[in-house]
Amino acid sequence: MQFGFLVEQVLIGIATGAIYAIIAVGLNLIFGTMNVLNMAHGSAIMIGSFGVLLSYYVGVENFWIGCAVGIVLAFLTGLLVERVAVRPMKGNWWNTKIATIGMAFVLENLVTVITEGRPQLYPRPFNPVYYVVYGDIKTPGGTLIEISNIQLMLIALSILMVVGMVLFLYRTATGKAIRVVAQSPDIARCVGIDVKRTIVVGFAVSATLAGIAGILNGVTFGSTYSFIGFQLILKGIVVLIVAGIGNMRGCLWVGMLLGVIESLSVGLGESTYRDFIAYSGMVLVLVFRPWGLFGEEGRVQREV
Amino acid sequence: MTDARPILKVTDLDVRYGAVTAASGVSLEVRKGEIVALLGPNGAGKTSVLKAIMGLNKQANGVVEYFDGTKTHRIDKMETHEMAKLGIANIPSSEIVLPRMNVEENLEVGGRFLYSDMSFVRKRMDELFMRFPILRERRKQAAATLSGGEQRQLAVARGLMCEPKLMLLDEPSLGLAPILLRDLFATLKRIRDEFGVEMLIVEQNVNKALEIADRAYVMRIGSIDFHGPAKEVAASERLRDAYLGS
Repeated sequence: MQFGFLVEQVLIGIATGAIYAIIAVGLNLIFGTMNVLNMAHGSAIMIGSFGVLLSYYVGVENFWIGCAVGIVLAFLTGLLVERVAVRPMKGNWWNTKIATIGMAFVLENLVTVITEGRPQLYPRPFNPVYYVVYGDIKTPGGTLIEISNIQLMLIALSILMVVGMVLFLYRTATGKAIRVVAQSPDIARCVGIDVKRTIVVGFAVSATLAGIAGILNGVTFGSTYSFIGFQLILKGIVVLIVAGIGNMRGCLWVGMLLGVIESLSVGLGESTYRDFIAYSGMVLVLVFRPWGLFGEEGRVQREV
Repeated sequence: MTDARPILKVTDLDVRYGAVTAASGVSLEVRKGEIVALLGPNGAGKTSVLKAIMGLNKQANGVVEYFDGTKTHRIDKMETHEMAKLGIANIPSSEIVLPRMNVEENLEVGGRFLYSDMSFVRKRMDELFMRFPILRERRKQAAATLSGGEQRQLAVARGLMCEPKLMLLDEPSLGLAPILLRDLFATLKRIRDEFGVEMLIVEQNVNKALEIADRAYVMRIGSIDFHGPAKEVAASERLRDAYLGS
């Protein structure tokens, strides 16, 4: 096994892990405000990724305009989910969970019908350029490490988004309101916070992040399909649980760790073990640290 | 005659949970400068009435009026977060503090969403830290790690952040050791004397509440049994009857 190959796998892993991190951060935001696992988060991921294709389909063949369409559609999906599958449940944990699952099935099957279930090719923002990080391209058989501009963009964006989310939650009035609602809706009302509005904002922000994750995933794998959301939300949940619910920075680290583990197991020829490794790792964490690697002890007893 | 106008006036309030009536026909008022206690045995409906006034229970009917010194507001159909802007500080008993925020943040939260001027919020925080020195000592500590007495103090201080005219307190003494309880009630009385904040207090500890209250209402199975000046209520046979049943 070549050293250069290993490093490349790690870099690819970090880039895909970054997507998991963004998804987990979005889930975390809703879990934080509503104490609810939003199972329709995957729909916003899927709709975000298809938004880009939609704009190409109607003839606007510009990747960045497509991104804007995807993000707006994901944002609207978030508002729709909140209005239809969350607000009418009046805070009932189980009902909300089932309703959001139902919502996810409706949206994802709708897109399956439209696309006839076929995977769709995904456009690229720019042509990939590979930069040599280590070694010499002219030496055949020597150690060579390369990274593409697209991978760099993915890593940079995900770090930016997690940092942005932490700043939003800890520095802005809206972010503070979200944290207060998460800890006590009654106290939130008593200090003048409009809880209903705050929850809507939480869903909108979360779904926007999901849309961005969907687009990044499409770019990374060069294609998307109608059930991409279901596949990715599972990874997001693993990251959220392993990181510890409520911890944004933890999501970044664990997301990238999961990406690297996956990419190494594929790279080492053990692709069948990919999910086995990821999920057994999650179970181990749950057994020994039920509150997660970065979470706060005691938080785990709060719900259900 | 503006002084005669009550700060808080509740008329014919009914509270229901589904088919169960928790309180019916409750009328009470808090006048200028008063601390009013709402007393009664367990299950009499005191907390239900207070939650309804706070707007935290939507299944309530009745007229609740609040006079802010210049204008009378109907607050029975108002959302709780809008009441905070009128100068009503609600201090519920179920959740006292925000456990995962530190003392300073807990205090800041009391003013941050009501005033756009952060320097004013900070000034107000400093004033309250002067008044509650134990909170200043613990300002960087997570609220969950405070003792029960300190948490109650923090809740009261958070309520004071909005410069309230009226404070509604639900069982402030819940879970407090006797010595802390005395401190807390002394603090409440001082707040009334110095800031002129009127208070409506729901309380289990009848003796302590009657020591600081000007007037008291006694509830029994969902309605007001009788009311009067605190001293008279304290001496009355009916108070004992309400608690022991007869």
